[in-house]
Amino acid sequence: MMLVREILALLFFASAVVFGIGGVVGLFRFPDPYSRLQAGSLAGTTAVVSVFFGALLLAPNWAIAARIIVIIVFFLISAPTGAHIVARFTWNSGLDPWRPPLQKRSGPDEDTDETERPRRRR
Amino acid sequence: MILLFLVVLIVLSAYSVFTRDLLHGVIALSAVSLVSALLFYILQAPDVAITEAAVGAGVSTVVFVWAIRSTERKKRQ
Amino acid sequence: MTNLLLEGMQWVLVAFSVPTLVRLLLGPTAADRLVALNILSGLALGFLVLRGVQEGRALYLDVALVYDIFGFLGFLAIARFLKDRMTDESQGGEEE
Repeated sequence: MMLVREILALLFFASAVVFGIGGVVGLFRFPDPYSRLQAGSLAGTTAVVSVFFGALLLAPNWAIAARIIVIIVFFLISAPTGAHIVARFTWNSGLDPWRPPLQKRSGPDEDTDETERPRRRR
Repeated sequence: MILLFLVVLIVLSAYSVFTRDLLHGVIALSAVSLVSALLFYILQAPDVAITEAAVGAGVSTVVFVWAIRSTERKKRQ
Repeated sequence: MTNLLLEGMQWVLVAFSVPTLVRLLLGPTAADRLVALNILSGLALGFLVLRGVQEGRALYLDVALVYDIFGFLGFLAIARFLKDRMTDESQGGEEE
């Protein structure tokens, strides 16, 4: 019969699947490395941490549970830092975040590409 | 499962060989060592997986990146 | 029941890693490849832990910990190198 632990672990795994699908779909639909980074770290960090918590509940003995806790702590340090480093380096390299092109309602329909937007001072 | 990892391994290695940019090759190589560490893990060989993970993902990537860093990018004439 | 749960979750993680790999191979800019690499090592870590819990031996989880530490080191090395390449790529476009 289903133990309480298994039901909770199932809950964690289900949330991991939801986060994972959201992240992976976002990885392909977003137009810009920055937004892809947000979707990616959503899938890569949140989903994996909930998998860890689910595995923590299913751990057969204490030796494994202790190791999983250490892994959770270290993963929570390394993954977001990695995502932050990528964002920082792309920002320093001058890549401008994506902005939707301006739609001009009145006036002749001149081209509304990025050039009208003031580029940020380097 | 093992077959899927093997196919992924082949695709990644082919990509890292045929890509023009060196750095994309190094990124693909670190993914290759990741997948091979997983493979050793699945084939019930944890200590070999530890070594492959430590050497492949950590040291060899650093050495490759270090080597590429010292080469100059050919100026686009 | 737990075995089924663990096994199914491993297959789900493998299913997630395939599109991430596609993004790593296709990714136009280097930043996308780094993002994909970051996700891939996270997913691999989850897979390792799940497999370790299923096998029940404590040594299996050391693999995951070692992989996390060294994966992060390798990732830092690539990202640091990319920093210079990105800056001279964008400066190259404007100043040269």
